[in-house]
Amino acid sequence: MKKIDIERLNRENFRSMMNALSRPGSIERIEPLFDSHLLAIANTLLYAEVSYFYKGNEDFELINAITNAKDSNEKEADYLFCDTIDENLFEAGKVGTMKDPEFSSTYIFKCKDFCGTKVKISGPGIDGSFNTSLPISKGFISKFNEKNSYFPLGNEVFFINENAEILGLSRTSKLEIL
Amino acid sequence: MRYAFLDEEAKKEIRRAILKAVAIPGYIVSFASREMPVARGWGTGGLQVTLSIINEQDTLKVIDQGCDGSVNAVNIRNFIKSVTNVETTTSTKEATIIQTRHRIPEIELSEKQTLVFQVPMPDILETVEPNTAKAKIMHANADYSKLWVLLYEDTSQFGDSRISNRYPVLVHNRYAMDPSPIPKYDTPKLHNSKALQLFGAGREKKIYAIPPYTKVEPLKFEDKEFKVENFEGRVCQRCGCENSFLDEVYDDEGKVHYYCNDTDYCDKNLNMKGQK
Repeated sequence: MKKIDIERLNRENFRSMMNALSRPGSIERIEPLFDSHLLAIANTLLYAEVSYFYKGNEDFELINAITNAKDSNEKEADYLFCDTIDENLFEAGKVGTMKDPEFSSTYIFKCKDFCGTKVKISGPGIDGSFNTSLPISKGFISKFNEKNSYFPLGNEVFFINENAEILGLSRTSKLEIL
Repeated sequence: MRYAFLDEEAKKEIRRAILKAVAIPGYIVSFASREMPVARGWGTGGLQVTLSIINEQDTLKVIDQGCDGSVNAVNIRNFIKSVTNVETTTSTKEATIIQTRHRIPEIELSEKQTLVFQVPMPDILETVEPNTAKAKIMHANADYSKLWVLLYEDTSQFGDSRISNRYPVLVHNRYAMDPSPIPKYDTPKLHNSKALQLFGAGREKKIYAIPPYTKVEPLKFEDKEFKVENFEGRVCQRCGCENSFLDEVYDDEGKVHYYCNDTDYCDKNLNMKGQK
Protein backbone atom coordinates (compact mmCIF):
# COMPACT_ATOMS: atom_id res chain seq x y z
CA MET A 1 0.00 0.00 0.00
CA LYS A 2 1.27 3.45 -0.94
CA LYS A 3 2.17 5.52 2.09
CA ILE A 4 0.90 9.12 2.08
CA ASP A 5 2.55 11.87 4.09
CA ILE A 6 -0.47 14.13 4.55
CA GLU A 7 1.45 16.81 6.45
CA ARG A 8 3.99 17.12 3.63
CA LEU A 9 1.15 17.46 1.13
CA ASN A 10 -0.46 20.11 3.32
CA ARG A 11 2.66 22.24 3.56
CA GLU A 12 3.32 22.06 -0.16
CA ASN A 13 -0.28 22.79 -1.09
CA PHE A 14 -0.43 25.61 1.44
CA ARG A 15 2.62 27.27 -0.14
CA SER A 16 0.94 27.02 -3.53
CA MET A 17 -2.19 28.64 -2.08
CA MET A 18 -0.18 31.36 -0.34
CA ASN A 19 1.70 32.13 -3.56
CA ALA A 20 -1.53 32.07 -5.60
CA LEU A 21 -3.26 34.49 -3.21
CA SER A 22 -0.33 36.83 -2.77
CA ARG A 23 0.06 37.01 -6.57
CA PRO A 24 -3.53 36.92 -7.86
CA GLY A 25 -3.83 35.50 -11.36
CA SER A 26 -0.61 33.47 -11.10
CA ILE A 27 -0.79 29.70 -11.50
CA GLU A 28 0.64 27.24 -8.97
CA ARG A 29 0.85 23.43 -8.86
CA ILE A 30 -1.02 21.38 -6.29
CA GLU A 31 -0.68 17.74 -5.30
CA PRO A 32 -3.70 15.46 -4.94
CA LEU A 33 -4.89 13.63 -1.84
CA PHE A 34 -7.01 10.48 -2.28
CA ASP A 35 -6.76 11.14 -6.05
CA SER A 36 -8.55 14.47 -5.63
CA HIS A 37 -7.20 18.00 -5.84
CA LEU A 38 -10.27 19.42 -4.11
CA LEU A 39 -9.85 17.07 -1.14
CA ALA A 40 -6.15 17.96 -0.95
CA ILE A 41 -7.04 21.66 -0.65
CA ALA A 42 -9.84 20.87 1.81
CA ASN A 43 -7.39 18.94 3.97
CA THR A 44 -4.92 21.85 3.83
CA LEU A 45 -7.50 24.40 4.97
CA LEU A 46 -9.85 22.59 7.32
CA TYR A 47 -9.37 21.97 11.03
CA ALA A 48 -11.56 21.67 14.10
CA GLU A 49 -12.22 25.38 14.56
CA VAL A 50 -13.47 26.21 11.07
CA SER A 51 -16.62 25.32 9.20
CA TYR A 52 -17.25 24.40 5.60
CA PHE A 53 -19.97 23.83 3.06
CA TYR A 54 -19.58 21.51 0.10
CA LYS A 55 -21.76 21.29 -3.00
CA GLY A 56 -20.68 18.43 -5.22
CA ASN A 57 -20.10 14.73 -5.57
CA GLU A 58 -16.77 14.07 -3.91
CA ASP A 59 -16.60 12.00 -0.76
CA PHE A 60 -15.74 14.29 2.19
CA GLU A 61 -16.08 11.54 4.79
CA LEU A 62 -12.35 10.91 5.19
CA ILE A 63 -11.62 14.65 5.26
CA ASN A 64 -14.26 15.01 7.98
CA ALA A 65 -12.60 12.26 9.97
CA ILE A 66 -9.08 13.68 9.57
CA THR A 67 -9.83 17.36 10.08
CA ASN A 68 -12.88 17.31 12.35
CA ALA A 69 -14.14 20.52 10.70
CA LYS A 70 -17.75 21.55 11.17
CA ASP A 71 -20.18 20.98 8.32
CA SER A 72 -22.20 24.17 7.93
CA ASN A 73 -24.51 26.00 5.55
CA GLU A 74 -23.47 28.33 2.72
CA LYS A 75 -24.28 31.50 4.66
CA GLU A 76 -22.13 30.70 7.67
CA ALA A 77 -19.32 28.48 6.40
CA ASP A 78 -15.73 29.71 6.52
CA TYR A 79 -14.87 27.67 3.42
CA LEU A 80 -17.20 26.89 0.54
CA PHE A 81 -16.22 24.14 -1.87
CA CYS A 82 -18.05 23.48 -5.09
CA ASP A 83 -17.60 21.14 -8.08
CA THR A 84 -18.76 23.87 -10.46
CA ILE A 85 -18.41 27.64 -10.56
CA ASP A 86 -21.72 28.47 -8.96
CA GLU A 87 -22.70 32.15 -9.06
CA ASN A 88 -25.55 31.75 -6.60
CA LEU A 89 -23.28 30.05 -4.10
CA PHE A 90 -20.77 32.86 -4.52
CA GLU A 91 -23.47 35.35 -3.64
CA ALA A 92 -24.44 33.51 -0.46
CA GLY A 93 -21.17 33.54 1.51
CA LYS A 94 -20.39 35.96 4.34
CA VAL A 95 -18.11 38.94 3.70
CA GLY A 96 -17.04 39.70 7.27
CA THR A 97 -17.59 42.90 9.23
CA MET A 98 -15.65 46.17 9.28
CA LYS A 99 -14.34 45.18 12.72
CA ASP A 100 -13.54 41.59 11.78
CA PRO A 101 -13.18 41.39 8.00
CA GLU A 102 -11.40 38.03 8.33
CA PHE A 103 -14.68 36.39 9.40
CA SER A 104 -15.55 35.94 5.75
CA SER A 105 -15.89 32.98 3.39
CA THR A 106 -13.20 31.64 1.12
CA TYR A 107 -14.36 29.89 -2.04
CA ILE A 108 -12.76 26.91 -3.74
CA PHE A 109 -14.25 26.14 -7.14
CA LYS A 110 -13.38 23.25 -9.41
CA CYS A 111 -13.11 23.94 -13.14
CA LYS A 112 -11.91 22.19 -16.28
CA ASP A 113 -9.21 24.75 -17.13
CA PHE A 114 -8.57 28.46 -16.65
CA CYS A 115 -9.83 29.47 -20.10
CA GLY A 116 -12.86 31.73 -20.22
CA THR A 117 -13.52 35.44 -20.02
CA LYS A 118 -10.60 37.71 -20.89
CA VAL A 119 -9.94 40.19 -18.11
CA LYS A 120 -7.48 42.82 -17.01
CA ILE A 121 -6.46 42.12 -13.45
CA SER A 122 -4.87 44.61 -11.04
CA GLY A 123 -4.44 45.24 -7.32
CA PRO A 124 -2.01 44.24 -4.56
CA GLY A 125 0.19 41.31 -5.58
CA ILE A 126 0.27 42.42 -9.20
CA ASP A 127 2.95 44.59 -10.76
CA GLY A 128 0.65 47.16 -12.35
CA SER A 129 -1.84 45.03 -14.27
CA PHE A 130 -1.92 42.19 -16.77
CA ASN A 131 -4.39 40.57 -19.12
CA THR A 132 -5.41 37.00 -18.49
CA SER A 133 -8.24 34.56 -18.91
CA LEU A 134 -10.40 33.40 -16.01
CA PRO A 135 -12.84 30.46 -15.96
CA ILE A 136 -15.74 32.68 -14.94
CA SER A 137 -18.65 34.36 -16.69
CA LYS A 138 -19.22 38.09 -17.03
CA GLY A 139 -22.02 37.76 -14.47
CA PHE A 140 -19.62 36.18 -11.98
CA ILE A 141 -17.09 38.96 -12.57
CA SER A 142 -19.63 41.66 -11.86
CA LYS A 143 -20.72 39.80 -8.68
CA PHE A 144 -17.06 39.44 -7.65
CA ASN A 145 -16.44 43.16 -8.14
CA GLU A 146 -19.64 44.03 -6.31
CA LYS A 147 -18.97 41.78 -3.29
CA ASN A 148 -15.43 43.11 -3.00
CA SER A 149 -16.27 46.75 -3.63
CA TYR A 150 -16.33 47.75 0.03
CA PHE A 151 -12.84 46.86 1.23
CA PRO A 152 -11.98 45.34 3.71
CA LEU A 153 -15.18 43.32 3.30
CA GLY A 154 -15.07 40.59 0.68
CA ASN A 155 -14.10 37.06 -0.31
CA GLU A 156 -11.08 35.17 -1.55
CA VAL A 157 -11.64 32.78 -4.44
CA PHE A 158 -9.51 29.85 -5.58
CA PHE A 159 -10.00 27.89 -8.79
CA ILE A 160 -8.63 24.37 -9.18
CA ASN A 161 -8.39 22.90 -12.66
CA GLU A 162 -8.04 19.33 -13.93
CA ASN A 163 -4.31 19.81 -14.56
CA ALA A 164 -3.55 20.06 -10.84
CA GLU A 165 -3.21 23.84 -10.95
CA ILE A 166 -4.57 26.50 -8.64
CA LEU A 167 -5.30 30.18 -9.29
CA GLY A 168 -6.38 32.66 -6.64
CA LEU A 169 -8.20 35.98 -6.54
CA SER A 170 -7.94 38.18 -3.49
CA ARG A 171 -10.65 40.55 -2.26
CA THR A 172 -8.33 43.38 -3.32
CA SER A 173 -8.14 42.12 -6.94
CA LYS A 174 -9.80 44.36 -9.51
CA LEU A 175 -11.22 42.61 -12.57
CA GLU A 176 -12.00 44.49 -15.76
CA ILE A 177 -13.67 42.66 -18.67
CA LEU A 178 -11.76 43.13 -21.93
CA MET B 1 9.35 15.05 16.50
CA ARG B 2 6.96 16.56 13.99
CA TYR B 3 8.25 18.40 10.97
CA ALA B 4 8.66 22.08 11.84
CA PHE B 5 7.93 21.57 15.55
CA LEU B 6 4.30 22.78 15.57
CA ASP B 7 1.45 20.29 15.43
CA GLU B 8 -0.64 20.25 12.28
CA GLU B 9 -3.68 21.85 13.94
CA ALA B 10 -1.54 24.81 15.08
CA LYS B 11 -0.03 25.19 11.62
CA LYS B 12 -3.45 25.15 9.98
CA GLU B 13 -4.66 27.91 12.28
CA ILE B 14 -1.58 30.04 11.62
CA ARG B 15 -1.86 29.36 7.88
CA ARG B 16 -5.49 30.52 7.93
CA ALA B 17 -4.38 33.73 9.66
CA ILE B 18 -1.62 34.20 7.06
CA LEU B 19 -4.03 33.76 4.13
CA LYS B 20 -6.48 36.24 5.65
CA ALA B 21 -3.64 38.68 6.37
CA VAL B 22 -2.45 38.45 2.75
CA ALA B 23 -6.01 39.04 1.51
CA ILE B 24 -6.47 42.11 3.76
CA PRO B 25 -3.14 43.99 3.50
CA GLY B 26 -2.16 45.73 6.73
CA TYR B 27 -5.03 44.30 8.78
CA ILE B 28 -4.07 42.59 12.06
CA VAL B 29 -5.36 39.01 12.33
CA SER B 30 -5.44 37.35 15.76
CA PHE B 31 -4.16 33.83 16.25
CA ALA B 32 -3.56 31.46 19.15
CA SER B 33 0.16 31.90 19.68
CA ARG B 34 1.80 28.68 20.89
CA GLU B 35 4.48 28.12 23.50
CA MET B 36 7.83 27.96 21.75
CA PRO B 37 11.23 26.84 23.02
CA VAL B 38 12.30 30.50 23.17
CA ALA B 39 10.87 33.15 25.44
CA ARG B 40 8.04 35.33 24.19
CA GLY B 41 9.47 38.56 22.91
CA TRP B 42 12.46 36.79 21.35
CA GLY B 43 10.90 36.23 17.98
CA THR B 44 8.23 33.62 18.65
CA GLY B 45 5.78 35.30 16.26
CA GLY B 46 8.19 35.29 13.35
CA LEU B 47 9.25 31.78 14.31
CA GLN B 48 5.68 30.44 14.22
CA VAL B 49 5.03 32.10 10.87
CA THR B 50 8.24 30.65 9.42
CA LEU B 51 7.52 27.17 10.78
CA SER B 52 4.04 27.25 9.29
CA ILE B 53 5.14 28.19 5.78
CA ILE B 54 8.46 26.37 5.48
CA ASN B 55 8.91 23.19 3.45
CA GLU B 56 11.69 20.91 2.20
CA GLN B 57 12.49 23.06 -0.84
CA ASP B 58 13.24 26.20 1.16
CA THR B 59 16.54 27.86 1.93
CA LEU B 60 16.43 29.80 5.16
CA LYS B 61 18.22 32.95 6.26
CA VAL B 62 17.76 34.52 9.68
CA ILE B 63 19.01 37.99 10.56
CA ASP B 64 18.95 40.05 13.69
CA GLN B 65 19.51 43.77 13.00
CA GLY B 66 21.05 42.86 9.65
CA CYS B 67 23.47 40.36 11.17
CA ASP B 68 23.45 36.59 10.55
CA GLY B 69 25.77 35.97 13.46
CA SER B 70 24.00 37.47 16.45
CA VAL B 71 22.66 35.32 19.30
CA ASN B 72 18.99 35.64 18.34
CA ALA B 73 19.60 34.89 14.66
CA VAL B 74 21.97 31.96 15.25
CA ASN B 75 19.67 30.27 17.75
CA ILE B 76 16.52 30.69 15.68
CA ARG B 77 18.32 29.45 12.55
CA ASN B 78 19.74 26.44 14.41
CA PHE B 79 16.36 25.62 15.89
CA ILE B 80 14.51 25.79 12.56
CA LYS B 81 17.27 23.74 10.93
CA SER B 82 17.01 21.10 13.69
CA VAL B 83 13.24 20.65 13.21
CA THR B 84 13.05 20.89 9.42
CA ASN B 85 16.49 19.99 8.07
CA VAL B 86 16.17 22.76 5.46
CA GLU B 87 19.20 24.36 3.83
CA THR B 88 20.35 27.52 5.57
CA THR B 89 22.34 30.38 4.15
CA THR B 90 23.69 33.79 5.03
CA SER B 91 23.30 34.97 1.44
CA THR B 92 20.27 37.21 0.94
CA LYS B 93 20.09 36.25 -2.74
CA GLU B 94 19.99 32.49 -2.15
CA ALA B 95 17.35 32.51 0.59
CA THR B 96 13.69 31.76 -0.13
CA ILE B 97 12.56 32.61 3.40
CA ILE B 98 14.28 35.38 5.34
CA GLN B 99 13.28 35.76 8.95
CA THR B 100 14.30 39.16 10.24
CA ARG B 101 14.44 41.16 13.40
CA HIS B 102 14.26 44.90 12.75
CA ARG B 103 15.89 45.19 9.30
CA ILE B 104 15.09 44.70 5.64
CA PRO B 105 18.11 43.39 3.71
CA GLU B 106 20.10 45.98 1.81
CA ILE B 107 19.66 44.43 -1.66
CA GLU B 108 16.27 44.33 -3.39
CA LEU B 109 14.37 41.11 -2.72
CA SER B 110 12.93 38.96 -5.51
CA GLU B 111 9.47 37.57 -6.24
CA LYS B 112 10.48 34.11 -5.03
CA GLN B 113 11.30 35.33 -1.54
CA THR B 114 9.24 35.75 1.61
CA LEU B 115 10.35 38.11 4.34
CA VAL B 116 9.13 37.21 7.84
CA PHE B 117 9.35 39.96 10.46
CA GLN B 118 9.57 39.41 14.21
CA VAL B 119 7.23 42.00 15.68
CA PRO B 120 7.20 43.15 19.31
CA MET B 121 4.22 45.53 19.14
CA PRO B 122 1.87 44.87 16.24
CA ASP B 123 -0.65 47.68 16.61
CA ILE B 124 0.57 51.15 15.66
CA LEU B 125 -2.41 52.66 17.48
CA GLU B 126 -1.04 51.36 20.77
CA THR B 127 1.07 54.53 21.12
CA VAL B 128 -2.03 56.75 20.96
CA GLU B 129 -4.80 54.43 22.18
CA PRO B 130 -3.86 51.92 24.91
CA ASN B 131 -7.34 50.35 24.94
CA THR B 132 -7.07 47.58 22.34
CA ALA B 133 -10.86 47.24 21.94
CA LYS B 134 -11.10 50.94 21.09
CA ALA B 135 -8.10 50.65 18.77
CA LYS B 136 -9.85 47.83 16.87
CA ILE B 137 -12.89 50.06 16.33
CA MET B 138 -10.58 52.85 15.17
CA HIS B 139 -9.06 50.48 12.61
CA ALA B 140 -12.58 49.43 11.53
CA ASN B 141 -13.49 53.08 10.93
CA ALA B 142 -10.07 53.93 9.45
CA ASP B 143 -9.98 56.57 12.17
CA TYR B 144 -6.33 57.53 12.46
CA SER B 145 -6.92 61.07 13.72
CA LYS B 146 -5.00 60.41 16.95
CA LEU B 147 -1.95 59.34 14.95
CA TRP B 148 -2.22 62.51 12.86
CA VAL B 149 -2.49 64.58 16.05
CA LEU B 150 0.70 62.93 17.36
CA LEU B 151 2.45 63.78 14.09
CA TYR B 152 1.08 67.31 14.19
CA GLU B 153 2.26 67.88 17.78
CA ASP B 154 5.76 66.70 16.87
CA THR B 155 5.85 68.76 13.69
CA SER B 156 4.62 71.94 15.36
CA GLN B 157 7.03 71.63 18.30
CA PHE B 158 10.11 70.13 16.68
CA GLY B 159 9.67 70.76 12.97
CA ASP B 160 9.32 67.07 12.15
CA SER B 161 8.19 63.76 13.59
CA ARG B 162 10.35 62.44 16.43
CA ILE B 163 9.63 58.80 15.53
CA SER B 164 13.03 57.27 14.78
CA ASN B 165 11.99 53.71 13.97
CA ARG B 166 8.74 51.73 13.72
CA TYR B 167 7.41 54.61 11.63
CA PRO B 168 3.64 54.28 10.95
CA VAL B 169 2.71 53.41 7.38
CA LEU B 170 -0.56 53.33 5.47
CA VAL B 171 -1.07 50.11 3.52
CA HIS B 172 -3.17 49.97 0.35
CA ASN B 173 -4.67 53.37 1.28
CA ARG B 174 -6.59 51.77 4.12
CA TYR B 175 -4.86 50.38 7.22
CA ALA B 176 -2.31 52.17 9.38
CA MET B 177 0.29 49.53 10.15
CA ASP B 178 3.26 49.03 12.44
CA PRO B 179 6.17 48.00 10.22
CA SER B 180 8.00 46.50 13.27
CA PRO B 181 10.98 48.46 14.63
CA ILE B 182 12.79 48.84 11.32
CA PRO B 183 14.74 52.09 10.89
CA LYS B 184 13.16 54.83 8.77
CA TYR B 185 15.84 53.98 6.20
CA ASP B 186 13.98 50.70 5.52
CA THR B 187 10.44 52.13 5.43
CA PRO B 188 10.46 52.98 1.69
CA LYS B 189 11.50 49.37 0.93
CA LEU B 190 8.09 48.15 2.14
CA HIS B 191 6.45 49.91 -0.79
CA ASN B 192 5.96 47.87 -3.94
CA SER B 193 8.28 45.13 -2.67
CA LYS B 194 8.63 42.15 -4.99
CA ALA B 195 8.67 39.81 -1.99
CA LEU B 196 5.75 38.80 0.20
CA GLN B 197 6.16 40.35 3.66
CA LEU B 198 4.68 38.58 6.69
CA PHE B 199 4.67 39.96 10.22
CA GLY B 200 4.31 37.77 13.32
CA ALA B 201 3.90 38.94 16.92
CA GLY B 202 3.99 35.91 19.24
CA ARG B 203 3.52 37.63 22.58
CA GLU B 204 0.68 39.76 21.21
CA LYS B 205 -0.78 36.86 19.17
CA LYS B 206 -1.10 38.78 15.90
CA ILE B 207 -0.21 38.24 12.26
CA TYR B 208 -0.38 40.73 9.41
CA ALA B 209 1.02 40.98 5.92
CA ILE B 210 1.90 43.08 2.92
CA PRO B 211 1.50 41.22 -0.39
CA PRO B 212 4.03 41.94 -3.15
CA TYR B 213 3.53 45.10 -5.21
CA THR B 214 1.39 46.81 -2.60
CA LYS B 215 1.25 50.54 -1.96
CA VAL B 216 2.83 51.35 1.41
CA GLU B 217 3.28 54.98 2.37
CA PRO B 218 4.71 56.51 5.53
CA LEU B 219 2.11 58.60 7.37
CA LYS B 220 3.21 62.12 6.58
CA PHE B 221 1.77 65.57 6.03
CA GLU B 222 1.68 66.52 2.36
CA ASP B 223 4.08 69.42 2.77
CA LYS B 224 6.61 67.40 4.78
CA GLU B 225 9.20 65.22 3.14
CA PHE B 226 9.80 61.77 4.64
CA LYS B 227 13.41 61.88 5.78
CA VAL B 228 15.47 58.78 6.46
CA GLU B 229 18.70 58.41 8.45
CA ASN B 230 21.55 60.33 6.88
CA PHE B 231 25.02 58.76 6.63
CA GLU B 232 26.50 61.39 4.36
CA GLY B 233 30.26 61.58 4.54
CA ARG B 234 30.51 58.23 6.33
CA VAL B 235 31.72 54.98 4.88
CA CYS B 236 31.85 51.42 6.12
CA GLN B 237 35.35 50.91 7.52
CA ARG B 238 35.30 47.27 6.46
CA CYS B 239 34.09 47.32 2.85
CA GLY B 240 34.19 51.02 2.03
CA CYS B 241 30.50 51.18 1.08
CA GLU B 242 29.07 54.70 1.04
CA ASN B 243 25.39 53.96 0.58
CA SER B 244 24.31 51.41 3.15
CA PHE B 245 22.71 51.59 6.59
CA LEU B 246 25.64 51.90 9.01
CA ASP B 247 26.19 50.78 12.59
CA GLU B 248 27.96 53.19 14.90
CA VAL B 249 30.51 51.27 17.00
CA TYR B 250 32.60 52.74 19.82
CA ASP B 251 35.98 51.18 20.55
CA ASP B 252 37.75 51.07 23.94
CA GLU B 253 39.23 54.51 23.40
CA GLY B 254 35.83 56.02 22.68
CA LYS B 255 36.51 56.43 18.96
CA VAL B 256 33.57 55.99 16.61
CA HIS B 257 33.71 53.44 13.77
CA TYR B 258 31.10 52.78 11.11
CA TYR B 259 30.28 49.38 9.62
CA CYS B 260 27.53 48.10 7.29
CA ASN B 261 24.61 46.88 9.37
CA ASP B 262 23.78 44.19 6.79
CA THR B 263 26.68 41.75 7.24
CA ASP B 264 25.94 39.74 4.08
CA TYR B 265 25.93 42.92 2.01
CA CYS B 266 29.25 43.92 3.57
CA ASP B 267 30.77 40.46 2.91
CA LYS B 268 29.61 40.54 -0.72
CA ASN B 269 31.18 44.00 -1.18
CA LEU B 270 34.47 42.70 0.24
CA ASN B 271 34.37 39.62 -2.00
CA MET B 272 33.78 41.78 -5.07
CA LYS B 273 36.71 43.99 -4.13
CA GLY B 274 38.89 40.89 -3.65
CA GLN B 275 37.94 39.62 -7.12
CA LYS B 276 38.89 42.95 -8.70
